[in-house]
Amino acid sequence: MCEEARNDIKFEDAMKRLEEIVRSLEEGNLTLDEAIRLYEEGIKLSKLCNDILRSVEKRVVLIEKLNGEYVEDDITNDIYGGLGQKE
Amino acid sequence: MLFDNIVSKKEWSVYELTNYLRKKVEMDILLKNIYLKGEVIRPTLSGEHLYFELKDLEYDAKVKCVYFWFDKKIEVRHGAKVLVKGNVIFYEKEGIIEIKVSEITDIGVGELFVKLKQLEEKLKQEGLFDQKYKKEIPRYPKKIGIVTSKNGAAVRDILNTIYSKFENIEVYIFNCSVQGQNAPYEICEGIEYFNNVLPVEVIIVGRGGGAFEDLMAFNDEMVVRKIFESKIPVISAVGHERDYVLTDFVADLRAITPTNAGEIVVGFQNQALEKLDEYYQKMKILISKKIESSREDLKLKLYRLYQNSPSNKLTKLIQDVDLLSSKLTFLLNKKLHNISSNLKILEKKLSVSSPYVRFTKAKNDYEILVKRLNIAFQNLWQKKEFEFKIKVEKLIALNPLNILKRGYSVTIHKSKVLTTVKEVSIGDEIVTRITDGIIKSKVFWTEEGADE
Repeated sequence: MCEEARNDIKFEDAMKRLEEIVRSLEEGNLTLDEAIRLYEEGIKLSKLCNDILRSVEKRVVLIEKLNGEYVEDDITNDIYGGLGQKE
Repeated sequence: MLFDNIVSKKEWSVYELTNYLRKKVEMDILLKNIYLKGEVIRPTLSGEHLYFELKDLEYDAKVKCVYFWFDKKIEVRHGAKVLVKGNVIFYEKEGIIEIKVSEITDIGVGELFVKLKQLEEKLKQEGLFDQKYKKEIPRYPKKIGIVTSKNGAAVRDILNTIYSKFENIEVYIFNCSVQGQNAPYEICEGIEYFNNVLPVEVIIVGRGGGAFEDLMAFNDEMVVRKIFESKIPVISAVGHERDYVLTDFVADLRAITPTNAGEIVVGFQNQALEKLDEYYQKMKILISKKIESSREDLKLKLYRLYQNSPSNKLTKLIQDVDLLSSKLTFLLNKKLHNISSNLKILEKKLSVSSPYVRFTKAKNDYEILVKRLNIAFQNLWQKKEFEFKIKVEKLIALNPLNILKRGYSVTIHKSKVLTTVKEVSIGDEIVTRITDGIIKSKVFWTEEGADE
């Protein structure tokens, strides 16, 4: 839980900083050097946020109790078939 | 007759018994058109007919009921307290007593509902629904657990919603019954599984819409307590917006539908994704604009630098020279042209007074003059010839030689006829012509005015 919260904060801080950068760039009263430095920081932050958002791949796992044992079945490739539902 | 037959028999066939009982029941006037009070259990509609059980309000007793050609407009809920009117019948095929219902009237809140309200009150008193126990739902969860039936519409709705925008999420579905006797136990097992075996960031517990009694598992005390104990945040997603169950109160968040639960877990992520994309595009556009404007600025400065550079000044001077020289050329050309046209005029004029013309004229003049000369000459000639003839005749008359013949002579000195003594000096040779020849003499004496 604690770790998740930290992740949320890390992500939101990055997004906040990114928003600031975009605003600064929009205001436009920067030197070229400053603008490029901010742009580079912004690209890094947007990569960081993207990495967090895309840190896992799509995965759907069905857990069923069969004969008293829990069985985990990866049904990512055929979700509704795996759930026994017709598309 | 009939009774006698049976009494006399040692053993009955099933049919004989059921048939006997049916008739016995049908003949009992007390069992006709009775009113019966009770709580409806598991109403099921089969075709046009409604089947249910009527449970006693106080004791553990129930009876089966059937309502043929049931009017579907009337709502008969599980747990509803009703008054039915009908006849008691014996259904031979099943061997059971049934009420053949002709009327049904709802007479108030069912016992089940009352019990539910009592349970809600009890749990509330215990503080299970207190806001202070609510855990925060992670805004960017990557691992999501769902406790529901794999066959229900809920799981499909949740998955469709989660994966509609992007796919970077893991979903673990714990399959369980969501209604019936086992449902509360299985739901609890699911919550436990995610807490103890397969950790996820948020658990969705729920099912699709259904009748009040279908949702009862989510009003179960055991389930409510299990959700309360969960260390992982739980979202309750049961039925439709109007359906309220106890899990809605105990969960850390209530989703109005399973679809809404899906929206909750991906809402922030979808928004963030859109924002990220927007920021990324904006930054790219803004930086290219900045670079472009800096480039323009540089161009302008370079241009100004160039404008003020010595080489440019030189170029300007060269341009000036070029300009002036071309102006000059132009003016020269113009002048030349003027001169040339003047020349042409002069040439024209000149051609009028050319030597040839003059020559021709002169020739004409000459010819005229020659003619005139000839005429004049001829005239003169004739005149002179005439005069000459006269003179010749005169001359002939005056011929000195004739004079000479007469004895006179002519003295010549230096080819000139000597007429005065002053023309000769002593010593000069003189020639004297006489009629038949000449005499040469030397002067030895002269005297003016002397006679011989």
